[in-house]
Amino acid sequence: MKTLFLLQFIFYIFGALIPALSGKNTRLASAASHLAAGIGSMLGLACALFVFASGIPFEWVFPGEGVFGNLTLRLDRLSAVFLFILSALSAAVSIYAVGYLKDHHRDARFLGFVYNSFICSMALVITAANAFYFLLSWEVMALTSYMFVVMEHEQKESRRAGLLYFVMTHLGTAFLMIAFLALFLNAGSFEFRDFQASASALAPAWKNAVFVCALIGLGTKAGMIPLHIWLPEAHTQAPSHASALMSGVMIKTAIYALLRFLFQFLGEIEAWWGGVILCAGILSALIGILYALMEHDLKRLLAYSSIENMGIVFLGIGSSLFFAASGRTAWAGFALIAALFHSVNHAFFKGLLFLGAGSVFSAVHCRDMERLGGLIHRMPATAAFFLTGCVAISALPPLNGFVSEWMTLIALFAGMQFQGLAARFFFPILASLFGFAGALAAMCFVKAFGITFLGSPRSSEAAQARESDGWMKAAMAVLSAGCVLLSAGAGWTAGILSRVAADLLEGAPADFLPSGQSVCVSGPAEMGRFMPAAGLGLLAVLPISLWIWRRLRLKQLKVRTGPNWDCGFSRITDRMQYSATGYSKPLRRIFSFLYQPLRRVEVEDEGHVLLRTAQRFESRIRPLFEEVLYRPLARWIIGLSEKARQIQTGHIQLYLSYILLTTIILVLVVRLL
Amino acid sequence: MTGAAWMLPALHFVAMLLLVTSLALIVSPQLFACIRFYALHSFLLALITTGTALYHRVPHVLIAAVLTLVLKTIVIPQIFYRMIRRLGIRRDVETYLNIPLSLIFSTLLVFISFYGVGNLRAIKPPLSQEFVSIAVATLFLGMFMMTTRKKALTQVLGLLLIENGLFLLGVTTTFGMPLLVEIGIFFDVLVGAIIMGVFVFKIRGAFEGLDMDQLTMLKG
Repeated sequence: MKTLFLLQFIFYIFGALIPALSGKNTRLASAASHLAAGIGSMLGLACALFVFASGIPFEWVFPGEGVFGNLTLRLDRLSAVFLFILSALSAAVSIYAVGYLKDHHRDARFLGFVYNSFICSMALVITAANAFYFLLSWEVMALTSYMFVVMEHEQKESRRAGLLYFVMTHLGTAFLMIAFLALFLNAGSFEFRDFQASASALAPAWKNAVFVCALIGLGTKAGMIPLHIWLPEAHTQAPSHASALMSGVMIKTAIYALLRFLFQFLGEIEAWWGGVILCAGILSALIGILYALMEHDLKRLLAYSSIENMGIVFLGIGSSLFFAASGRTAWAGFALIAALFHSVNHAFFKGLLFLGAGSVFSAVHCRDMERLGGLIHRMPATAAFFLTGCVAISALPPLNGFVSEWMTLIALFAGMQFQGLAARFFFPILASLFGFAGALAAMCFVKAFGITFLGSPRSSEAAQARESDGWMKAAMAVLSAGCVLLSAGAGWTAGILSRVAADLLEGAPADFLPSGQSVCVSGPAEMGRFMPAAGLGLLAVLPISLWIWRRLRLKQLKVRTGPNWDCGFSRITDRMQYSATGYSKPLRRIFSFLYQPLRRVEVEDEGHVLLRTAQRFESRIRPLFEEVLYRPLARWIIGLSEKARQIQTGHIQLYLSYILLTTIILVLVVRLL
Repeated sequence: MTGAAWMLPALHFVAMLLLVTSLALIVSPQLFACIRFYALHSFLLALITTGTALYHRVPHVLIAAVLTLVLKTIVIPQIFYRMIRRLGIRRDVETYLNIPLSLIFSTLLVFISFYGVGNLRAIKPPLSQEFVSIAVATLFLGMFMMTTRKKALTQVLGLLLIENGLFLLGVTTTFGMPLLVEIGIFFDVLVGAIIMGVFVFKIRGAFEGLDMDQLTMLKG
């Protein structure tokens, strides 16, 4: 176990160094580097599964004394869940990267280095059991992901996205540091174990302050609205395989840390924390998916959908906190299982979707959906995998997305039955809004799949697209299989997660999940029961019977092939298809208060309306959070800086007199104190 | 452990002379006079160092005293003389404040330092609290000199004055630092003076003058 565990890090380091050591063959160096990361991830996966199977936490202490405490790596069940997410996804992504970076990336070697460091830092974030080393790896993670974002640094948007990400992530880390330092003052050590042991000694005011700081700090990383603005930009600019990891794993490290804070470091849980997180969750879910619907950029759409999914995870965590604070531990456990399950599921389907988007991008070199279309004919395998991901993320019954969203919904419904006006008023609204968000997600992914893959090509590049190579298809196949397996084995997965929940909450796994590790999933008090195998079976029976019926029916009829009826309009072009903008138009009108759409039509004519020579149409939505929240803030800070600049005259004597004055004041202060 | 009884008042007297020399350095209008006063200041400092060494019987401080005498009283002034000769400056010192006003401010600074650290509980020097005040006053005066002078050369003198103040503080409060540190500091000062000299030449080369006002142009 120890060998296995340490060997994964050695593989990551080795993988990071290969590109530097190797000779001129860039392609080979990049492939070797990514494969090393893949092997490391497999080892990590084995470690995580071993901890699940044995139930014994694994701990390794770096020999020697450190100033901030020893470098301790601990893999308990909670860490194992997230190490599982990381390793499973990065194993697939590493395979993908070999194919993806084969021809069109000049920085493939540098990417290999960054990629390995990124995975290694995430593995350290998840396993570090000391606040100092946690923060250190957290910053390395931010730095390496920043390098992914600015990989195409000659483009202005890339640099802009990078700067935004850098600023936001440091803002978050600053708050996180405050939270950790406050815990350090209480515990007198940076060890997580000491934090946990002295949690009950935390004064209520401190506790709440730490909660707020941790929520802001980690919420920034998790893309919680309104701290999300960096996420769509950064995920769009990074190379697709990196976006898959950033979206699938990196933002979940924030969830991991948040769970540690809420259930271990802060002692007694307060009900209002649950309320705050529920509000943030439902806002993120709704607004995230509403913005996703307006996007024409495939990767931005996926990024906004990540915000929605993090919102769903927050809903699970929030209701868990609320239930735990009001003494309903069984339901708290169930909601926590739902949140953890959704984290796992999201990693799989969102990783799959980003890889699919990457395949489309490397085939067409364009992310704008208005220039795609008809790709199902040219790239049938990619289309099939992308469709699997879409079905999963839209929470349609047979696939894994459904199970966790259903569990979250059950938890919200359970909240309605509780006493107390707040719960009775609050939870029905949450549940209905959550249902609405789910419907919008389905709509969004009908758009993502339909416009990209169906219809006929909207550009010549799309018409000449080529199917991705074996590496990429294999990676997507692995993740698709993961989506199906997680659904078929939902009962067992939930059973494993129920033990994780039992580590965090006081209670037995059987209370949280009466069904245990079995074929079905059911909530406490026999509320709801879902048997994924039955769903999958139904899904298998339905199309097969339809196909048989069609065959039988067609045999009786005479079949004649001919052109479609074009309503008498003889010159139908590909531009007359249903467009992405047109598809989302109804929502743009309904939610115009949120989008504040701008619409401009310019017409050029030769003296008369009917003699039109050209017509231009522009339609876009206003980024509300940027304009209402961040722009004024930035303006205020710049104004303040301008004022501070006035003392900078450039006269050396003046600077010296500042020093003199400061010294004099200090001497006087010391005297007077 | 302590030496003869007459030494303490004598040391006080020399310290007072040191303070007066600092003031003289501030108000003297001629560059050569300034350098001579600096040499005198360093000489008095060496005297105080010797006195401390004898009074407390810490012989290694004597080495520091000898170094002070050699470097600060002889070598650095010589560097300055050579610099002035090569630059061909014979002009008077240019200041932002006139001499009476400088003197008033300097007095105020001396007052502040005596008031501020006169009976500080944090530092309990073995000789007398007075030395701390005088050292801080020297420091302030050096800073003041750097602040009010226009030319780079006189600013370097101000920096050296600050260094003398720090040295005085170090010697009188700690019986002198470890010898290695002392030698390091001396080396720093010497190298510092030489580098300053080089800078002065460079500044003149770039701006055709030593007026620090012109450095404002460097601001972005």
